[in-house]
Amino acid sequence: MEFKESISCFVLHLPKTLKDTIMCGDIELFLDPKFNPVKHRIPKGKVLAAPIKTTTPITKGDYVYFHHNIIHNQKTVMGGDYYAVFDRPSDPTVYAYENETTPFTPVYDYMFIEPMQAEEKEVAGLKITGQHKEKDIREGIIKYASVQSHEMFKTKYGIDDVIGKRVNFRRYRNYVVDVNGDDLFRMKAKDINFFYA
Amino acid sequence: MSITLTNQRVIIATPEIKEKTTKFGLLETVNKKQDKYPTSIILHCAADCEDAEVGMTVMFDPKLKETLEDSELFTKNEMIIRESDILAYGV
Repeated sequence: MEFKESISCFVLHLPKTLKDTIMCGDIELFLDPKFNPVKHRIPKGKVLAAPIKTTTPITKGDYVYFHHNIIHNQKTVMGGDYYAVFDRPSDPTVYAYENETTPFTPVYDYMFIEPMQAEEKEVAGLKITGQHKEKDIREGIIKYASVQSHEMFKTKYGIDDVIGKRVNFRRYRNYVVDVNGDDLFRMKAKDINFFYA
Repeated sequence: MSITLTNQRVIIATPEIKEKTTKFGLLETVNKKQDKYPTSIILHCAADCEDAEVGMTVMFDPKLKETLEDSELFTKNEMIIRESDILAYGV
């Protein structure tokens, strides 16, 4: 289906919303994502039409990364494999885009941080499981940052290039996004507590 | 290791746990509910803070949901909170 233009939403093509295979070494195995659909969602899709009412660098043909709830929100389903995604600066749902010439680029004030492993703790002789260890992670290295967050840190704090800087961030900002094979934490610039010198 | 605080964050000294003697002569710690408005001293503050300055005595409400969730224990003796979580400044 061809879309000429959209008024206020992105029209996305999502032929596959759940990851149903897993690589085990060189072997590709099929997996049933129904037992944990949240973990296996694919929050990435091709833009078929970009909104004309919203100022955005994203254009037709780009691939966007969006909020994971969009897949399960029945209001966004247009039928077939097409989804209508409303994205406003006050209520952003799309947080990054990429295309053939532009690598992964966050929008608004989103940042993507490579988590640093928390120290292994033992409470009363009990080992903390991996899931809880992830919640304890409060530090990481900035891998991607939007233009807006770059400018904010430069003008307010005189930090020229935030990429590669070690930061401490707010608790529970541990939503993991798969960006080209790397598991990164997605958060906003306002979630950063401080930069290490 | 030096740090650059951002986003109006303030580092304060962790308030001491208050103790009081019960009528039976036993020591009991004053829990957060009773210690409604703890006070502390600002140790560091971000460059974009509007009112906070190092050395100021501040009062904050630990019952506020925001304060409890966002006032993260930085070290044993230091807490990191947002400037907006401060209720009052001491003279």
